[in-house]
Amino acid sequence: MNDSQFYILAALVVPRHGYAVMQMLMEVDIQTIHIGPATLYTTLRQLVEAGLLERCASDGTSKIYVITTEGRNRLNDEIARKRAMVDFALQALDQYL
Amino acid sequence: MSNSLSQKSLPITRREIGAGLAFAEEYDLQRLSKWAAEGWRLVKVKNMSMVLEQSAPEQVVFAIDYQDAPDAEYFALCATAGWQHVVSVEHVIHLFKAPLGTPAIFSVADMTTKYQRAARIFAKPAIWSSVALVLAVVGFFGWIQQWLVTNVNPMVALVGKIVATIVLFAIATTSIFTLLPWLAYRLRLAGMQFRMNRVVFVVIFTILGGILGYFLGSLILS
Repeated sequence: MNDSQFYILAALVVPRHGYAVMQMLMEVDIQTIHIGPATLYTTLRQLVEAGLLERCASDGTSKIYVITTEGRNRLNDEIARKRAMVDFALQALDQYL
Repeated sequence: MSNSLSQKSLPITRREIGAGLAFAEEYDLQRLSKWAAEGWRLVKVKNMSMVLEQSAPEQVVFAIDYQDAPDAEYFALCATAGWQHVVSVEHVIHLFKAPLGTPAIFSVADMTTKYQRAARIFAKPAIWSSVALVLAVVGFFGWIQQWLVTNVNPMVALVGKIVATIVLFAIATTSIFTLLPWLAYRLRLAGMQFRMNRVVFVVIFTILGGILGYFLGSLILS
Protein backbone atom coordinates (compact mmCIF):
# COMPACT_ATOMS: atom_id res chain seq x y z
CA MET A 1 0.00 0.00 0.00
CA ASN A 2 1.52 3.35 -0.99
CA ASP A 3 1.29 6.55 1.04
CA SER A 4 -1.55 8.03 -1.03
CA GLN A 5 -3.68 4.92 -0.55
CA PHE A 6 -2.92 4.90 3.17
CA TYR A 7 -3.97 8.51 3.73
CA ILE A 8 -7.10 8.18 1.60
CA LEU A 9 -8.19 4.98 3.35
CA ALA A 10 -7.67 6.63 6.74
CA ALA A 11 -9.65 9.69 5.66
CA LEU A 12 -12.58 7.48 4.65
CA VAL A 13 -13.05 5.66 7.95
CA VAL A 14 -16.24 7.73 7.97
CA PRO A 15 -18.26 8.35 4.78
CA ARG A 16 -17.08 11.40 2.85
CA HIS A 17 -17.29 12.94 -0.59
CA GLY A 18 -14.19 12.76 -2.71
CA TYR A 19 -13.71 16.52 -2.58
CA ALA A 20 -14.10 16.47 1.23
CA VAL A 21 -11.22 14.00 1.35
CA MET A 22 -9.15 16.35 -0.78
CA GLN A 23 -9.99 19.35 1.43
CA MET A 24 -9.11 17.32 4.51
CA LEU A 25 -5.75 16.27 3.10
CA MET A 26 -5.00 19.84 2.01
CA GLU A 27 -5.76 21.21 5.47
CA VAL A 28 -3.75 18.64 7.37
CA ASP A 29 -0.09 19.55 7.49
CA ILE A 30 1.20 16.52 5.68
CA GLN A 31 4.82 17.37 5.07
CA THR A 32 5.78 14.28 3.21
CA ILE A 33 3.08 13.92 0.62
CA HIS A 34 0.95 15.90 -1.76
CA ILE A 35 -2.12 14.16 -3.17
CA GLY A 36 -3.39 15.97 -6.20
CA PRO A 37 -6.97 15.66 -7.51
CA ALA A 38 -5.97 13.38 -10.39
CA THR A 39 -4.09 11.11 -8.00
CA LEU A 40 -7.07 11.12 -5.63
CA TYR A 41 -9.45 10.14 -8.42
CA THR A 42 -7.21 7.32 -9.64
CA THR A 43 -6.59 6.06 -6.10
CA LEU A 44 -10.29 6.09 -5.20
CA ARG A 45 -11.04 3.96 -8.24
CA GLN A 46 -8.19 1.57 -7.42
CA LEU A 47 -9.34 1.17 -3.82
CA VAL A 48 -12.95 0.57 -4.88
CA GLU A 49 -11.81 -2.04 -7.42
CA ALA A 50 -9.67 -3.69 -4.72
CA GLY A 51 -12.67 -3.87 -2.40
CA LEU A 52 -11.11 -1.62 0.24
CA LEU A 53 -13.60 1.21 -0.34
CA GLU A 54 -17.20 1.29 -1.45
CA ARG A 55 -19.39 3.98 -2.90
CA CYS A 56 -22.34 4.44 -0.61
CA ALA A 57 -24.14 7.30 -2.32
CA SER A 58 -23.92 9.75 -5.15
CA ASP A 59 -25.44 13.14 -5.86
CA GLY A 60 -24.59 13.78 -9.46
CA THR A 61 -20.89 14.53 -9.85
CA SER A 62 -19.96 13.88 -6.27
CA LYS A 63 -19.78 10.36 -4.88
CA ILE A 64 -19.57 9.39 -1.21
CA TYR A 65 -17.05 6.76 -0.27
CA VAL A 66 -16.46 4.77 2.89
CA ILE A 67 -13.98 2.13 3.96
CA THR A 68 -15.10 -1.51 3.81
CA THR A 69 -14.43 -4.18 6.44
CA GLU A 70 -11.60 -5.49 4.30
CA GLY A 71 -10.28 -1.96 3.93
CA ARG A 72 -10.36 -1.46 7.70
CA ASN A 73 -8.43 -4.70 8.22
CA ARG A 74 -5.84 -3.66 5.65
CA LEU A 75 -5.52 -0.25 7.28
CA ASN A 76 -4.99 -1.83 10.70
CA ASP A 77 -2.38 -4.18 9.25
CA GLU A 78 -0.60 -1.24 7.61
CA ILE A 79 -0.65 0.76 10.85
CA ALA A 80 0.87 -2.21 12.68
CA ARG A 81 3.51 -2.56 10.00
CA LYS A 82 4.45 1.10 10.08
CA ARG A 83 4.47 1.07 13.88
CA ALA A 84 6.89 -1.88 13.85
CA MET A 85 9.13 0.02 11.43
CA VAL A 86 9.15 3.10 13.66
CA ASP A 87 9.80 1.04 16.81
CA PHE A 88 12.70 -0.71 15.11
CA ALA A 89 14.25 2.60 14.05
CA LEU A 90 13.75 4.17 17.49
CA GLN A 91 15.35 1.14 19.12
CA ALA A 92 18.30 1.35 16.76
CA LEU A 93 18.72 5.07 17.46
CA ASP A 94 18.48 4.50 21.24
CA GLN A 95 21.42 2.12 21.10
CA TYR A 96 23.62 4.87 19.73
CA LEU A 97 22.44 7.74 21.92
CA MET B 1 -26.88 57.55 -41.25
CA SER B 2 -25.65 54.87 -38.91
CA ASN B 3 -25.42 51.35 -40.00
CA SER B 4 -27.99 49.45 -37.98
CA LEU B 5 -26.57 46.16 -38.96
CA SER B 6 -23.88 44.98 -36.57
CA GLN B 7 -21.50 42.31 -37.57
CA LYS B 8 -20.78 39.71 -34.98
CA SER B 9 -17.01 39.53 -34.91
CA LEU B 10 -15.58 36.06 -35.03
CA PRO B 11 -12.84 35.24 -32.53
CA ILE B 12 -9.38 35.43 -33.99
CA THR B 13 -7.74 32.03 -34.00
CA ARG B 14 -4.39 30.65 -34.95
CA ARG B 15 -2.99 27.18 -35.26
CA GLU B 16 0.30 25.94 -33.84
CA ILE B 17 2.02 22.66 -34.56
CA GLY B 18 2.64 20.82 -31.30
CA ALA B 19 5.86 18.99 -30.58
CA GLY B 20 3.69 16.05 -29.56
CA LEU B 21 2.26 15.79 -26.07
CA ALA B 22 3.56 12.25 -25.81
CA PHE B 23 7.08 13.21 -26.84
CA ALA B 24 7.69 16.68 -25.47
CA GLU B 25 5.02 17.17 -22.84
CA GLU B 26 6.91 19.72 -20.74
CA TYR B 27 7.88 21.74 -23.82
CA ASP B 28 4.32 21.95 -25.17
CA LEU B 29 2.86 22.76 -21.74
CA GLN B 30 5.37 25.60 -21.31
CA ARG B 31 4.45 26.94 -24.74
CA LEU B 32 0.77 26.88 -23.79
CA SER B 33 1.58 28.95 -20.67
CA LYS B 34 3.57 31.39 -22.79
CA TRP B 35 0.75 31.79 -25.30
CA ALA B 36 -1.79 32.22 -22.52
CA ALA B 37 0.31 35.06 -21.10
CA GLU B 38 0.36 36.62 -24.57
CA GLY B 39 -3.44 36.41 -24.83
CA TRP B 40 -3.99 33.15 -26.71
CA ARG B 41 -6.08 30.45 -25.08
CA LEU B 42 -6.15 26.83 -26.17
CA VAL B 43 -9.51 25.71 -27.58
CA LYS B 44 -8.76 22.50 -29.43
CA VAL B 45 -6.08 19.86 -29.91
CA LYS B 46 -6.20 17.58 -32.91
CA ASN B 47 -3.37 15.23 -33.83
CA MET B 48 -0.30 17.43 -33.96
CA SER B 49 -1.93 20.84 -34.02
CA MET B 50 -3.25 23.13 -31.30
CA VAL B 51 -5.91 25.73 -32.09
CA LEU B 52 -5.61 28.94 -30.10
CA GLU B 53 -8.19 31.72 -29.76
CA GLN B 54 -7.41 35.33 -28.91
CA SER B 55 -8.48 36.18 -25.37
CA ALA B 56 -7.42 38.11 -22.30
CA PRO B 57 -3.86 37.34 -21.18
CA GLU B 58 -3.58 35.13 -18.14
CA GLN B 59 -0.75 33.78 -16.02
CA VAL B 60 -1.46 30.06 -15.88
CA VAL B 61 0.29 26.73 -15.84
CA PHE B 62 -0.92 23.71 -17.76
CA ALA B 63 -1.01 20.04 -16.83
CA ILE B 64 -1.90 16.90 -18.73
CA ASP B 65 -3.39 13.67 -17.45
CA TYR B 66 -4.40 10.39 -19.03
CA GLN B 67 -7.68 8.80 -17.95
CA ASP B 68 -9.81 6.56 -20.11
CA ALA B 69 -13.26 8.19 -20.28
CA PRO B 70 -13.37 9.57 -16.72
CA ASP B 71 -16.70 10.56 -15.23
CA ALA B 72 -17.84 14.01 -14.07
CA GLU B 73 -16.35 13.46 -10.60
CA TYR B 74 -12.83 13.57 -12.07
CA PHE B 75 -13.32 17.04 -13.55
CA ALA B 76 -15.14 18.23 -10.41
CA LEU B 77 -12.25 17.13 -8.17
CA CYS B 78 -9.72 18.88 -10.40
CA ALA B 79 -11.83 22.03 -10.46
CA THR B 80 -12.09 22.02 -6.66
CA ALA B 81 -8.30 21.93 -6.50
CA GLY B 82 -8.04 24.89 -8.86
CA TRP B 83 -7.42 23.03 -12.11
CA GLN B 84 -9.82 24.12 -14.83
CA HIS B 85 -10.46 21.63 -17.61
CA VAL B 86 -9.43 23.04 -21.01
CA VAL B 87 -9.78 20.30 -23.62
CA SER B 88 -9.87 16.54 -23.89
CA VAL B 89 -8.53 14.53 -26.81
CA GLU B 90 -10.38 11.34 -27.68
CA HIS B 91 -11.66 11.10 -24.07
CA VAL B 92 -8.24 9.91 -22.86
CA ILE B 93 -5.92 12.92 -22.86
CA HIS B 94 -7.06 15.78 -20.62
CA LEU B 95 -5.51 19.22 -20.45
CA PHE B 96 -6.01 21.49 -17.46
CA LYS B 97 -4.87 24.98 -16.50
CA ALA B 98 -4.51 26.68 -13.13
CA PRO B 99 -3.13 29.94 -11.74
CA LEU B 100 0.60 30.03 -11.02
CA GLY B 101 1.43 28.43 -7.68
CA THR B 102 -1.47 25.98 -7.67
CA PRO B 103 -0.36 22.65 -6.14
CA ALA B 104 0.31 19.95 -8.72
CA ILE B 105 -2.58 18.02 -10.20
CA PHE B 106 -0.98 14.74 -9.17
CA SER B 107 1.56 13.52 -6.68
CA VAL B 108 5.18 13.16 -7.68
CA ALA B 109 4.89 9.46 -6.90
CA ASP B 110 1.96 9.23 -9.31
CA MET B 111 3.98 10.42 -12.33
CA THR B 112 5.10 6.88 -13.12
CA THR B 113 1.57 5.49 -12.89
CA LYS B 114 0.38 8.38 -15.08
CA TYR B 115 2.71 7.26 -17.91
CA GLN B 116 1.84 3.62 -17.26
CA ARG B 117 -1.80 4.58 -17.70
CA ALA B 118 -0.97 6.45 -20.90
CA ALA B 119 1.05 3.53 -22.30
CA ARG B 120 -1.78 1.15 -21.42
CA ILE B 121 -4.37 3.37 -23.16
CA PHE B 122 -2.32 3.54 -26.37
CA ALA B 123 -1.12 -0.08 -26.34
CA LYS B 124 -4.21 -1.75 -27.75
CA PRO B 125 -4.89 0.72 -30.61
CA ALA B 126 -1.15 0.76 -31.41
CA ILE B 127 -0.99 -3.02 -31.64
CA TRP B 128 -4.21 -3.38 -33.64
CA SER B 129 -3.44 -0.55 -36.06
CA SER B 130 0.11 -1.87 -36.63
CA VAL B 131 -1.20 -5.39 -37.28
CA ALA B 132 -3.82 -3.90 -39.62
CA LEU B 133 -1.09 -1.94 -41.43
CA VAL B 134 1.08 -5.02 -41.95
CA LEU B 135 -1.91 -7.07 -43.13
CA ALA B 136 -3.04 -4.24 -45.43
CA VAL B 137 0.40 -3.85 -47.03
CA VAL B 138 0.81 -7.60 -47.46
CA GLY B 139 -2.75 -7.97 -48.71
CA PHE B 140 -2.64 -5.05 -51.12
CA PHE B 141 0.68 -6.00 -52.65
CA GLY B 142 -0.28 -9.63 -52.65
CA TRP B 143 -3.53 -11.10 -53.77
CA ILE B 144 -5.66 -7.92 -53.96
CA GLN B 145 -3.41 -6.23 -56.52
CA GLN B 146 -3.14 -9.49 -58.48
CA TRP B 147 -6.93 -9.84 -58.44
CA LEU B 148 -7.46 -6.24 -59.60
CA VAL B 149 -5.07 -6.61 -62.50
CA THR B 150 -6.21 -10.00 -63.80
CA ASN B 151 -9.91 -10.18 -63.06
CA VAL B 152 -11.47 -6.75 -63.59
CA ASN B 153 -11.79 -4.01 -66.10
CA PRO B 154 -8.68 -1.71 -66.12
CA MET B 155 -10.76 1.34 -65.12
CA VAL B 156 -12.33 -0.55 -62.23
CA ALA B 157 -8.87 -1.77 -61.27
CA LEU B 158 -7.59 1.80 -61.18
CA VAL B 159 -10.49 2.92 -58.98
CA GLY B 160 -9.89 -0.10 -56.77
CA LYS B 161 -6.23 0.82 -56.41
CA ILE B 162 -7.11 4.41 -55.49
CA VAL B 163 -9.57 3.19 -52.84
CA ALA B 164 -6.93 0.78 -51.56
CA THR B 165 -4.44 3.64 -51.40
CA ILE B 166 -6.80 5.79 -49.35
CA VAL B 167 -7.54 2.91 -46.95
CA LEU B 168 -3.83 2.11 -46.62
CA PHE B 169 -3.04 5.77 -45.90
CA ALA B 170 -5.77 5.94 -43.23
CA ILE B 171 -4.48 2.79 -41.53
CA ALA B 172 -0.89 4.05 -41.68
CA THR B 173 -1.84 7.41 -40.15
CA THR B 174 -3.72 5.70 -37.31
CA SER B 175 -0.75 3.45 -36.71
CA ILE B 176 1.66 6.39 -36.56
CA PHE B 177 -0.50 8.38 -34.13
CA THR B 178 -0.87 5.44 -31.76
CA LEU B 179 2.40 3.54 -32.11
CA LEU B 180 4.73 6.53 -31.72
CA PRO B 181 3.02 7.88 -28.57
CA TRP B 182 3.00 4.38 -27.05
CA LEU B 183 6.73 4.11 -27.81
CA ALA B 184 7.35 7.55 -26.30
CA TYR B 185 5.60 6.59 -23.03
CA ARG B 186 7.45 3.27 -22.83
CA LEU B 187 10.77 5.04 -23.34
CA ARG B 188 9.87 7.62 -20.69
CA LEU B 189 9.06 4.82 -18.25
CA ALA B 190 12.41 3.26 -19.09
CA GLY B 191 14.02 6.49 -17.99
CA MET B 192 14.72 7.88 -21.42
CA GLN B 193 13.40 11.32 -22.30
CA PHE B 194 12.16 10.94 -25.82
CA ARG B 195 12.82 14.56 -26.66
CA MET B 196 11.43 15.60 -29.95
CA ASN B 197 11.50 18.90 -31.63
CA ARG B 198 10.05 20.12 -34.85
CA VAL B 199 13.13 19.17 -36.89
CA VAL B 200 13.11 15.58 -35.66
CA PHE B 201 9.37 15.35 -36.27
CA VAL B 202 9.79 16.63 -39.81
CA VAL B 203 12.57 14.10 -40.43
CA ILE B 204 10.56 11.17 -39.07
CA PHE B 205 7.42 12.08 -40.97
CA THR B 206 9.40 12.72 -44.15
CA ILE B 207 10.94 9.25 -43.91
CA LEU B 208 7.59 7.64 -43.13
CA GLY B 209 5.92 9.67 -45.85
CA GLY B 210 8.59 8.63 -48.32
CA ILE B 211 8.17 4.96 -47.47
CA LEU B 212 4.41 5.24 -47.71
CA GLY B 213 4.66 7.19 -50.97
CA TYR B 214 6.93 4.52 -52.42
CA PHE B 215 4.46 1.77 -51.58
CA LEU B 216 1.48 3.77 -52.76
CA GLY B 217 3.21 4.76 -55.99
CA SER B 218 4.07 1.12 -56.65
CA LEU B 219 0.47 0.18 -55.98
CA ILE B 220 -1.02 2.72 -58.37
CA LEU B 221 1.55 2.54 -61.14
CA SER B 222 1.82 -1.25 -61.28
